[in-house]
Amino acid sequence: MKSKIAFGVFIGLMFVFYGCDYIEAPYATDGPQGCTGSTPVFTANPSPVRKVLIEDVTGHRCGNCPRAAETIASIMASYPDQVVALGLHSSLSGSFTDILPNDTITNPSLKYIYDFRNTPSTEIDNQFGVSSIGLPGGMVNRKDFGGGPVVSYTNWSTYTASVLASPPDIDLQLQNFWNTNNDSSLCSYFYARALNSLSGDYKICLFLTEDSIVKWQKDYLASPSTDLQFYVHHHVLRSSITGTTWGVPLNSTTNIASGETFIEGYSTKIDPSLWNLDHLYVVAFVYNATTLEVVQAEELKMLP
Amino acid sequence: MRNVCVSLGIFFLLVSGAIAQNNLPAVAIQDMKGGTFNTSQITNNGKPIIISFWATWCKPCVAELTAIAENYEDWQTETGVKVIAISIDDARNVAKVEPFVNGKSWEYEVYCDPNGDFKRAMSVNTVPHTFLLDGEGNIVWQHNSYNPGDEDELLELTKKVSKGEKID
Amino acid sequence: MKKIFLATIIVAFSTLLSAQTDKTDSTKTKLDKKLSDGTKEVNWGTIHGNFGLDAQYYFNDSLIAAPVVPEKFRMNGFLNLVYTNGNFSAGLRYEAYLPKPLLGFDARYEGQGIPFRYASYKLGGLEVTAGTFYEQFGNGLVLRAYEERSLGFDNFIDGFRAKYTPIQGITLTGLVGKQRFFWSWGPGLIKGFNTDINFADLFPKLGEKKIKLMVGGSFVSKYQDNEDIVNPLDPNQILNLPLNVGAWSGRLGFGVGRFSMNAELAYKINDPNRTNGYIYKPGSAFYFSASYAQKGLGITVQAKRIENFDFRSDRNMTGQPLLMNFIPMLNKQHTYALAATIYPYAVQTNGELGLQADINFTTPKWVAKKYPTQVNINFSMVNALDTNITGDLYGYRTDVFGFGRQLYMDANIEISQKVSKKVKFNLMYMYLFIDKNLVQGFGSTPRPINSHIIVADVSYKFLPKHTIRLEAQGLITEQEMEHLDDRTNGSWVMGLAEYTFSPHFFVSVMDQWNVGNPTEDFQIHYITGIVGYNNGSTRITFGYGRQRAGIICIGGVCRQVPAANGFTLSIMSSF
Repeated sequence: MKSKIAFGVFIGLMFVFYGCDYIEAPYATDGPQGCTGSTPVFTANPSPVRKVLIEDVTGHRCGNCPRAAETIASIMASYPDQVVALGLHSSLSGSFTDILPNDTITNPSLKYIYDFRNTPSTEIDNQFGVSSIGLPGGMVNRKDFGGGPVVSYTNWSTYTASVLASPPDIDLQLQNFWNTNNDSSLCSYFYARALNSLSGDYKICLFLTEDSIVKWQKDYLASPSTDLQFYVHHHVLRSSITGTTWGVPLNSTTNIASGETFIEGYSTKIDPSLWNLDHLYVVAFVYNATTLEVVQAEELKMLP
Repeated sequence: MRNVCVSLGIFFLLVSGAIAQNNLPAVAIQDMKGGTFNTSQITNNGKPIIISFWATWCKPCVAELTAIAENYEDWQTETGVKVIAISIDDARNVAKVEPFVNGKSWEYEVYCDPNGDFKRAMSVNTVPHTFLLDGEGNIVWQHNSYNPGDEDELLELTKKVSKGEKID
Repeated sequence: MKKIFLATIIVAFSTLLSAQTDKTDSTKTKLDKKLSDGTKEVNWGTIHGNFGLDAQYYFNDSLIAAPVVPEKFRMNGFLNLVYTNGNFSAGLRYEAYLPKPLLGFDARYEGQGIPFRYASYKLGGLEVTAGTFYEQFGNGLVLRAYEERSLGFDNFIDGFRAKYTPIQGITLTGLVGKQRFFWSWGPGLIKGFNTDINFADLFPKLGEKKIKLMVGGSFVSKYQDNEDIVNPLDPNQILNLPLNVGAWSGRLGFGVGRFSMNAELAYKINDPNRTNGYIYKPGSAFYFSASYAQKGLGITVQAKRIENFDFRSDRNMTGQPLLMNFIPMLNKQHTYALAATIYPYAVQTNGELGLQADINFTTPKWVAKKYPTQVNINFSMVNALDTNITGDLYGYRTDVFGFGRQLYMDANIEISQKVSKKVKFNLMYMYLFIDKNLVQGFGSTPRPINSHIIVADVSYKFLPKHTIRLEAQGLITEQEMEHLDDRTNGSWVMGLAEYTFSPHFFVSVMDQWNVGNPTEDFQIHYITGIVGYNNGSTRITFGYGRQRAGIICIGGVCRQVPAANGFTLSIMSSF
C-alpha cells in the first residue's frame, strides 16, 4: 500500500511539475516604437486634477463580474473625468475567460466564442494575483490599502474617494495622431510635468483600450437567461503602446524635481478590421517602479 | 586530536561532539561499472576494514594505495583486513577508475562516489582520508593526508584491531 | 525562507517522534541496547561533522600586482554538523567569510550564516529530504548540484526531494527547489525527475554471467518569470522568452567481463540566455566512454559533443553561479603545478567536440625487474563546433561531425618507477596546445600557444618514516612579444623540496619562476613555504609566500584568481 502511494507521488512529480515552452519564430516582438515627425506642443495645465486608475479583472463567463462593471460606472458618475478604468481579460482566469467552441453542434447559439484575452491583461493578473484570489477583483491605483493591492469591488468606491482626496503630483496630458503616414499607425505623445519633487524610479505606460464592445456576457442577476447576448463591454484593455505590460522608464535620475517635464511619443500599428477605431482610447499612467503604485492616470480618445 | 583542538581554543563544538560517529552511514553509491551499491553492504565477516577515500588525480592517494598494494597479500593473511577504496572522481574521470585500478593491479574493492554523497556523509574534507573499522563496523581510527611511511602505522593499528585490542 | 525552515523543523520533529516509537525498525532495535535491569536505553543518536578554516594575512606586493587588502586579514570557514538517529538525519552548515572572502573567491560570499540545513528520513524504500541537498542525475549533463569548496563553487538546491526504490535495481528521484545564490536563492524554480534501472539487480542471472546493463533517464525543467529583454539584433524589439525550459537525457551503461561502456545523450529546448547571446536554437550534449580493463592494463576512450548546453536557473547569469548541469572535461586532470595551472582548459558549454584516450599499464612480472614500471599515456583534443551563423535569433546551424577550430590538445606520458625500498621516481612529458583567448574567454582573437612540459619527481625514504621528495618541472614555450603585459607568458621552471616525518609533520618549499617572460620585470620568483601537522583527521598547515595570479576553471567557467602575498593558515578537521 505504502509503495503504491509513493509510486503515485513520483508519477505525480513527473507530470505535474514538468513543463516546456517551445518558442516558434519570430522570437521577438516589437518593443516600444518611437514616433517619427516633430513633437507636438503641450501647454501646462493651470489647474491639474488627480485621476485614479481602476483595474477590473473580469471575464465574459464570470456571472458576478457585471457587478464590478456597474460599480465602476457609478464611481465614474460620482467623479466625472477623474476615473480611468481598464477591463482586464486574463488567461489565468480559467473558464471565466475561456472561449466556447465555434461550431453550432456543440454551441448552437455560438455564445462566448469571442476571445477577449491578451498578454498585458494576463501579465498584470499574474503580477498581482487577482485570478488566484477570485473574480471579480482588481486594483485601485495598484495601491496597498492595508490588505494588499487586490481589493474587492465593494471597496473601490471608498478607496477611490481616499485617493482623490489628495492633490495631484503630476500634470499628465496626451495627444494622439492616427494614420498621419497612411500606414495604419497611431502615434501617441504624453506630457508629464512634476508638480512637486518625487523620489524614486517612475515608469509610464500607454495602453490602448476599446469601449462598447457588444458581446456575450454571463450575468447571474439576469433573467430569464443568465447569458446576455448583447452586453456592452466597457474599457477593454487591448494592447500596450509602450511595447510591454510594464511600460518605459520615465526618469533616468533617481529623483524627479518639481517642474521637471517629460515628453515622448510612441507608435503602434492597429488593424482597423479587428477593432472599432471610433471606440479606441489611449490610457496613460505613471507609476512608481518599486511599489508599482500609480501616481497619475489620463485617458484620451484615439480619434478626435 | 583533542589536545590540538583545545589548545587552539576554537573547537569547542568539536569537543562537545563527544558522541562521535561510530557506524557507517547508509549511502547509495556506485560500483566501478555504474551499478548501484549501498554502503550499508560493506562487511568483512568480523574482520577489520580499511576505507580509503581517493581520486585518480590525487598523487598522495595513489601513493598510499600503491604502498598498501605492495604488501596487501601479507596484510590480508596477517590481519584478515579488507581495503575498500572509494573514488571521489566526478563524471570527468569516473569512467577511468576501473581501467586505472586494473592498470595499477590493485586488488581492492573499489566503489565510486561521483557526487560526493558518501564523502559528505563521512565528513571527509579532502582526500586522501583513511578510516579503520573494527570487526563490528565501528570507526576506530581515521587519518587525513598521506606521507610515505604512514602505511606502517596503519598496519600496526590494523594488527591491534584484528586482535581485538583497543586503540587510544 | 522562514516558512521553509519552519516546515523543515516540523518534518524533523514528527519524524523523530515516529522513529522513536517504531520498534519494528531493524536499525532501531540494533541501536537500542537492552540494559540489564530490563529498561530500555534511550538512543540519542549520533552527531558528527567536519570543520575547515582558511585564513590569510596579506602584504602589499605591487610587483606581482596583488590587490591591496586594506583589512589585511581575511578568512573562509565552515562547520558541518550531521545528526543521525536511525532512519532520521538532519544537518546544517555554518559558513563565515570574515571580514570578506579570501582573494580569489567571489566577493558576493561576504558575510556569515547557515545557508545549508536539511532534514531527511527513510521509510522502507522511500527517502524524503526537506531543505538543502546535493544531487546528480547520471553524468550530470542535465542536473548536478555539488560543492567544490576549494574553488568557492556551491550550487545546492533548497527544496524537497524524494528518492524511491520500489525494488532493488530501480531508483526513482523527484525534486523541486531553487538553487543557492550566495546568501539567497536564484530566481528559477527547478523541477527534476530521474530514473535508474539496473538490470543486473533485477535479473540475478545477468549478474551471475558478469553482465551489467544500466538504463536511465532524466527530465529537468526550470521556470523563471518573464521580463523585458531587448532583442540583441534589434533594439526596438523585446524577446518572447520561454518561461519553462525543459531538458532531458537518456543513458545506457553496459559491461561484460573486461569491457564497459557508458553513453548519455541530452537535449534542451530553446533557452535564450546571456551566455549563448539569447539565441533560440535547442541544445544537445553527447557523452560516450568505453573502457577495457584487465590486470595490469586499462584503456579508456571517451568522446563528447556539446552544443549550446549552458543550463542555469537564471537566464541572465554568467560565471559560476546558478549552473544546473555539469559538462565533464575530457582531458587528464593534471596535478603537477606547471601542467595544471599555467594553461588550464575550460569546458565550452556552448559548443565543443572532444576526444580522449587513456592507457594505464604495469609492466608484467616476467619482465626481469624487481619492481614493475607503471605507465600512463594520455591523449586528448578539443575542437570548437563548425557553425554557420543564421543571422537571426535562432543563432547557428551545425554539422554533427563538423570540427571547427582547434581549442586544445594534450599528449602526455607519465612513468612511475620504484627503484629500491627507499627510492621512487615519477617522470612526465607533455605536449600542450591551447588557444588561450578562445578557451579562457579573453576574446575572439585566437591566441594559440604550444608548449612542452617536463617533470621529474623523486622521493627518497632515507630512514623509516623520514622521506625527502624533490620535484623539478619545466615548461618551455615561445615568448609572445605581443602580450608584454601578461604575467603568464614565456617559459617557466619550478622546483619543490619536501620533507615528511610520518605520520605527523611535513615541510615544503616551492619556487615557480617565470624565467622566460619577455617583460624582464615579470621574470618573478613565486616562492612559498609550508609547514604542516597531521593528527588523525586533523590537518593544520601554515605557510608564507607569493601566490601567482592564475585561472581556476570549473563547470565550463574560468575565473581569475588574483595574485597574493602573505601568510596562510589552514585547519581541516572532522569528527
